[in-house]
Formats: sequence, C-alpha cells, structure tokens
Amino acid sequence: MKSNIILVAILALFLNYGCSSEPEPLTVPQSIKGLIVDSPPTKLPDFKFIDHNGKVFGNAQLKNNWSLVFFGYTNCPDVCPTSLSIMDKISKQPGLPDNMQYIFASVDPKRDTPEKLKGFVEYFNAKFIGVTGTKAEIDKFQEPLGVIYDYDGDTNSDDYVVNHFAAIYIIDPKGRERAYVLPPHSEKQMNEAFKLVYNYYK
Amino acid sequence: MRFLFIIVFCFYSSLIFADSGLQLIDPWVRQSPPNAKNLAGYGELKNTSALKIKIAAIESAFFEKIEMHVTTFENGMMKMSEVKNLALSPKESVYFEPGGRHFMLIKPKSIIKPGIIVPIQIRLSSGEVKRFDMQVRR
Repeated sequence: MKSNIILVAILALFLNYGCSSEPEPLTVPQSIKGLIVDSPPTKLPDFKFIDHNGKVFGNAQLKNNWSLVFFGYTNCPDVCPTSLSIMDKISKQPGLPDNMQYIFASVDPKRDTPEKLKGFVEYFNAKFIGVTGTKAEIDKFQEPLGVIYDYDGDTNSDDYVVNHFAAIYIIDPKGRERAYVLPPHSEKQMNEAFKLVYNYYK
Repeated sequence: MRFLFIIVFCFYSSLIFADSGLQLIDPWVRQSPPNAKNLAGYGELKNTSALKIKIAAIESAFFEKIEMHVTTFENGMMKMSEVKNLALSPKESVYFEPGGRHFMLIKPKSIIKPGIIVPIQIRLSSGEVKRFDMQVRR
C-alpha cells in the first residue's frame, strides 16, 4: 500500500515536471510596466466567435499563430483606439514572427455587427481581425482571462458606455495565454513586452 | 508714428489684461474609424493667470455635444465618467491625454479627418468664451 502511494507520488511528479517542457518562469524587468507572464500558460476556453467577415473564429484560428488580443467595443472613444493604434504600430516593428495576428474582440455584440467590426478594425490596420460572439461565449473568458465588462446606461438606446478590462493578451501558437499587458499601453512598452515573451517562449 | 504705437500698445494690452489666461496647449482630436459616434480630444489645459478659472461648458459647431470625461481603472475595468465643474487653480495645468482625461466629442456633424481643424469654444463661469483650434491626427 505504502509503495503504491510512493509510486503514485513519483508518477505525479513525473507528469508534472518530467514530461513538461515548461521552462522556468520568465523574469520581467521592472522597466517593462504592466507585463504579467503566465507560467504555466493559461488554457483558453473552447469558444466560438464570428469574425468581421462572418466566418467562425475559435480556438483553431489561434493555433500556430502568435496573437495579440484586445477586448473592447467599437463605440469606445479613448482606450480602445489608443490600444489599437499601438497594436498597429507594433505590427510594423522589425523582428516579429511571420505568424503574428492582431485581434479585436468586442464585448458589445449587440451593436458590433461583423460589418461594423470590419470598418473599425480595418481603419487601424487592414490585417487586423475583428471578432465577437454571444454573451455566453464572451463570458467564457471571464474566469480564465479576467475579461470583465458591464454596460453603463440604457442598453435599449444606442448611447450606452461599456466599462471593460483593457489588457492586451499575448496568446502563444498553442492557443494559450502566455502573458498580458495592463493599460495604459505605449508602443515602447508593448514592443518590449511582446519581444521579451516571444523570444523566451518561442 | 507715436500715435500708431499707442494704438498698437492699447490693442495688445487689452488682449493681455482682458484675457482670463486659459490656454489649451497642443489640442488635438484622434481621428476615429468611420461612423464613430464619439471621438476623443486631448491637450494641456493651463491656467496661466493668478485667479481660479472654472469651466462652464464646451461647444463646437462640429459636434452635437462636448463633455469632459475621465477614464479610470475601477473594479478591474476601464470606466469612463463625466468630469463636471472642472476648476483650475492659478498656474495649474490639467492634462487631457489618451487613457486618462479626454474631451468627449459626441456625435460629429461632419467627417473628422487629418487636415481638418476642429474649432472648440470653452465657456468659463465668468462668461468669457475662449476659442481653440484642435488638429485632427491619427
């Protein structure tokens, strides 16, 4: 019996560490503000969004790509345009992998139709992808990624405001959250943050 | 010649002494995506005078309404709320910048794109109206 317990313990250790290729947690220099690394990476929920062309966007579309993901809404006048224009500037930096994608996920599906998302993301960068989903699909990201939001004002009108978590998530090619960067975002901070994470975990 | 000098002096001194001393330094509007209902404007609002200045209202012919808003991080979310009754102490600067305070430019009446100058009028509680031109940038 005792030997069985020891065997199970050894097996558990082996499964946890022996098979895992997870490196030591990345040390983030203090000069890069707001970067928080997930070690081990956080698994994303199984989700099904729709992209700005009306196509399904889910876990499969994150695989084999490094993704920067920002949750917001298109009627957002300050925070979202600021972070998306920074993502656009980052996308033009040298030294990025070829398999990079930039995703704007709307937490306001009522107003943010695929057509509206298309006009919004393409304004910042023709390669950006706009996605959204039902409330149930969006809410799947609350627990693992901390994507919280609420509506302020009359949601039957067209003028309500959406309060939302505004980090930029770094998703690895296995479709897992590797890190996130808290606002306020700057081009220098995001560029350094992404390259640090990418070069360490690639 | 002396007469002309006096006229010029009077003209400038009236500008100096009648002016409240409110400045909006480097005012700009972020060009927004097509069909945006709200835009954000920024700049440094500076009271260069020795008196307190209260902002009563902000208007522009280009927008239905202008409010001052502040984005704050509350309960894990970026939350936008209106700033009312903004007052600037003597020599105080209040910064309107991305991710913080901003002029919320509501419902544009025309296309707002780079090259366009957006005039705004800031009405003070003293009744004085100051006009500033905001540049549109990406």
